[in-house]
Amino acid sequence: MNEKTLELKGSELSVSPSNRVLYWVSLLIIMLGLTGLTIFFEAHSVGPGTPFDKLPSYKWTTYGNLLFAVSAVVYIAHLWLPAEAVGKWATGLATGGTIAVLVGLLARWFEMHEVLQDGHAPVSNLYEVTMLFSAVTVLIYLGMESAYRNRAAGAFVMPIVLSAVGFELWLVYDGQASPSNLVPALKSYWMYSHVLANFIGYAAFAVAAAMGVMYLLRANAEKRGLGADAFAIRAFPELRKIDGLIFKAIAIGFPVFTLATVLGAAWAYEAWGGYWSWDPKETWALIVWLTYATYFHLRFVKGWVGTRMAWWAIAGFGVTLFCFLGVNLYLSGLHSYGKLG
Amino acid sequence: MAELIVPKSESQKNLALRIFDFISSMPTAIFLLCMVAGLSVIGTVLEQNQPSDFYLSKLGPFWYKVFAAMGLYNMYASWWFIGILAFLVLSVSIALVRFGPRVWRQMQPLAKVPDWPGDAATMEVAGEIAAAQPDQVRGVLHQAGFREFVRGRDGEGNELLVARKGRWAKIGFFLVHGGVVIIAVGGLVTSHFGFRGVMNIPTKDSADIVYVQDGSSYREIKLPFEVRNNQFAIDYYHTGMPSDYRTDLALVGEGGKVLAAKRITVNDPLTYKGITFYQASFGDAGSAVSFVLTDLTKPNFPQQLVHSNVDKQLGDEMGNKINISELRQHNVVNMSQDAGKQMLRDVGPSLDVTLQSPANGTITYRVYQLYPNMLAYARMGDKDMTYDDLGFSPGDGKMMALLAGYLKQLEQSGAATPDARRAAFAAAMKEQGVPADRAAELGPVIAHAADVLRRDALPMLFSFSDFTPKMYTGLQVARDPGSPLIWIGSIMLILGLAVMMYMPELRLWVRFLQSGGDATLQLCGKSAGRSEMGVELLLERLCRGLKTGVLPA
Ligand code: HEM
Repeated sequence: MNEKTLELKGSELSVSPSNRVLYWVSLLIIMLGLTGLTIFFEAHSVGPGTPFDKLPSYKWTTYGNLLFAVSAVVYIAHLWLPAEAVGKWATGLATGGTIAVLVGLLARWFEMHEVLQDGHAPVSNLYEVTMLFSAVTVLIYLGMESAYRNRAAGAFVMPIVLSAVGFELWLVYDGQASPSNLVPALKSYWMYSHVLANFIGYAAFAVAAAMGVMYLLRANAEKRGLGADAFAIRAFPELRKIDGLIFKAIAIGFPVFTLATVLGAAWAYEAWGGYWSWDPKETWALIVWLTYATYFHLRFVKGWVGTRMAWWAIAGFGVTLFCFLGVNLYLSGLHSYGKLG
Repeated sequence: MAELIVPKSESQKNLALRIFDFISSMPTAIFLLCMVAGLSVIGTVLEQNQPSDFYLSKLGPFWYKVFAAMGLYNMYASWWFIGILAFLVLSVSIALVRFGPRVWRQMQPLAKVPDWPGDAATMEVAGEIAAAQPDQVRGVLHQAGFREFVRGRDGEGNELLVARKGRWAKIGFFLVHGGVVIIAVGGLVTSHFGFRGVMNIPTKDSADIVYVQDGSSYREIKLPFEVRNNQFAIDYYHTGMPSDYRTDLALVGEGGKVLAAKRITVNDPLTYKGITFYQASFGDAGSAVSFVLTDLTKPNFPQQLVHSNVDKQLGDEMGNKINISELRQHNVVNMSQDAGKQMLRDVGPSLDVTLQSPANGTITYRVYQLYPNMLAYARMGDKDMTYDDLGFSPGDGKMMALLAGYLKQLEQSGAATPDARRAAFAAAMKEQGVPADRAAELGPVIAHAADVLRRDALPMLFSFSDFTPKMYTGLQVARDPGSPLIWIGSIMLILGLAVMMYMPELRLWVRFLQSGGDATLQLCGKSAGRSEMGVELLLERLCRGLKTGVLPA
């Protein structure tokens, strides 16, 4: 039992729920504003055949990725430097990074009209969806950070985001970052919603896995008798709470991931007349889904919590990663948009 | 039903009930979920529905047979995989019946005060408290969204107020598991009463037979009307990549009456009386092509203009077979020299000609109409095509004759020095009646072509002259009576998960302690899924609310 007597220290309680809504809405407005300005002032520099690294969107992505990198450093430093100001910088940098990457994605949408004379949402090649993944992961993490007022997980989420950024850089280096025309089957509004929902799911599972690592580190430190104030562990929430956070992240992702799968089925139904063709990507999406369905049964019904479930969250993200990348790398099928050459 | 849920004792359960229990038990559910996930992997690693040669060469004769016996080449349709899926659905159905009543009871209004939980987030307010009386506390909790309250006493006789929100979240159990069952029923209805097949109809032609794949063979379904392809066309992006396929489709009934007509595109099908026509593919219905064949095995390289059709095979007395395997009207290639850049251009129509000859094996040539000098071919087993620039079109009779003459001269004179080769070329020019002043211009071209021919030892060359396309549209045709069930089940599944995960049940206990004159309130909260941080923040907010009498925003 943990009992606490509330001490009232004035009314300094941080952001209230209604202020939080205001905060997110203003971020949205800033993002749309920057996108508008980018399109307005830089449209003249874009035309058919403009190489993608000369596009304004590429600049935004680069800024965003840089901010992510700095933010990761600050989040990790915050484990040892508990000053609130350090944490605020970490959050601010991550927020700025997300805005920049999202502006990059939205600007790229516009640029696609100009470069390819075929406007489609920037969710059709591996480079674009990896950007989307990094931005959504940070967004989901920031949402949880502000809802639960704890920044420790940032030090674990941001490295995952940086790995995504590294992968993007490799794709750029390998010449797979240029926008390209969509094949007819992909030209569907179902696709946009399907891909977006999928990446919300992937991102939530990534956040859960990051928190799983945090859980295991703390559990291990406690087991070795290092106590709650060993080096950075002091900044982590207690084990029970991390366990709850992992659950929350998966609970955010799972319904959306389910929606994504249904949207994919609806799209396949409209394009080919069949919901499900057991192509490797679909099958792996099902495997991911079953992995987390099992997670919920173990937790809700069998009452599993703690280390085992932290491992489950990490392994679940491993399966998710295979669905996201491994299928494109190692297997063949209908979802060839992200074939690695 | 009652004894099904609350058995009097283990020994009184009969065998059937025990089996029911087993099928719907949690270990079974978890085993099944993991099993389906694990087995599904197999079919993604082993490519499905390939021709048997593919597996035979990969696995060898022994494992080929073993895998075949297990149905692994079409494993998602194998009896054991379908069986496991069916068992999963059975298990979910029984769980619905068996646990449904209990879950339903959990959604009922709280009848008595639930015990103070020992393992949940707890917080305390003491000192001066604005909302210290149960009714005032209730008011604050109401502001926080709690609507359901019960009052009672705990074991030590302290007054207790219990509040709950998200009472309906458990409806998710019914929606999710019911959704899974309904989707499965929908799938069953479709597979029993529906069909899904293909129709390939050439432009200006019509058909009424749908071919439905049935294992490795096809079943025919006759439609009660004719499906007419009035026009098939491909739209292109400016880069030359296809942007859409479309067919002007008409369904024609008795006496030529048009029952329905629509221009269908890839994501926009036509539905008539429950049968839906999807634009799925297209192909060549035997386009007429003509090309010039140059026979390099004969002296003087004789040429011949050949008229043929795509997919038609021609043969000669030497046992050579020439097959026109593919006509592509557009070829998009990356013209950028830079590895990282893309510069897509359409290089126009191409023809794939496959030559099978007893002496030279199989060689596939790709000839481009707009780039006739291009020499592109692959021998059987090559991974990529070999590309070269011949310097002139193989269809150019004069140049081919000059080349033949030059090679013959070389052979006769056995010319080894540059001077001797020049003499051989001059002789060939004279023989072919080419003015001598063109030697400087033609010499290097012919010399290069001669090198290429000697290097490549190709028996024939082709040059693409002309074509008249004839395409067919590939339609996917489906009747799917189960689809409403599938969509309803999917919506139930999503809604159910959303209420369960986003509006989880939350219970709150408030204990009223009296010590001396001061009241102390203890609060404790517990949420489904045990995520304590949110509960703790809520408790903190509530404590502030109780202290001041108004809930902070
Ligand atoms: C196929 C995918 C499945 C999904 C997505 C799923 C999802 C869930 C979820 C989220 C819960 C938590 C409900 C709660 O307690 O709040 C749950 C509970 C449960 N599930 Fe499943 N389930 C699936 C399959 C199955 C299967 C195969 C069984 C077979 C026995 C089953 C039996 C149960 C039972 C008995 C509960 C506990 C109900 C209770 O007492 O609260 N589920 N399921």
